[in-house]
Amino acid sequence: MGRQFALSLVLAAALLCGAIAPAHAAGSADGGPRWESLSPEQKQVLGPIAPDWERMPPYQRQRLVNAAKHYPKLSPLEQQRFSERLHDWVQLPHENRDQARETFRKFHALPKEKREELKQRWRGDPPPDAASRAEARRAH
Amino acid sequence: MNEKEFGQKIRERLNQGTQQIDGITLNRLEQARQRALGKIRVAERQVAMAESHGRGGSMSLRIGGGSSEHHPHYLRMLFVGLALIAGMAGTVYWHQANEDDDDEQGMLDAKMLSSELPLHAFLHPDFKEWVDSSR
Repeated sequence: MGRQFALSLVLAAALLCGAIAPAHAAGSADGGPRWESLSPEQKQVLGPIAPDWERMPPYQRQRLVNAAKHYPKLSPLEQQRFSERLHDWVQLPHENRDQARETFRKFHALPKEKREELKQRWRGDPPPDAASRAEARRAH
Repeated sequence: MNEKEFGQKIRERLNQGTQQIDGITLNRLEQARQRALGKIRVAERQVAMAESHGRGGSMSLRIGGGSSEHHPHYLRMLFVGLALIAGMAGTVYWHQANEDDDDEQGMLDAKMLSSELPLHAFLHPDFKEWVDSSR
């Protein structure tokens, strides 16, 4: 009976290991995804940062892979922006990337009208109300 | 006479002796043998039960007052099976939760990198202040 119990535990442990192992199978020794393990599509999306890949910490590589998964859902213009900014993004210090994410998270949670207002404010455009008033004055 | 020859002599005498025993005595001897064997079987079963209860500890519960000494074994296997299922379910849940987090983070990064606003806007203290004051 004791032997059966021990065998059951070993079997349970083996099954658990079997469940966990595939998640790490594509990872390198340090835990991050290796460049060779990426799909051709992921390599294409992350191509601009290929030379920096192995120098990046594992968690950063994993986050970039996660971001690249959403690339196909972006519009062509958004995909262009994504590719152009990727290199600058990975050069930023970790703290700055976290700070940008936090601000973007808050910004993204705002109502659409507020987001548009802040975009215009950032670009230096006059607020919509002021613009319409100016337009109205010109019309008169 | 060596040891082997002596043993052979004893066997011959015993065989001769059993042939001379009458039927009643043989019958009584057979009954006595069966009683002795029965007592040995009972003793062995009691020892096995005591060992089973001792190892089973709190798991040696009887379901529905059943009398089978195999219950602790089944309970233990049931316990292992449940623990295995719970472990597997926990692992699957943990992986799923991690994947959901990763997916959400990935989506946020992708949206930020493809946003109409440049990256440095989200690092600018003024823009941060505007966002905070708009909430």
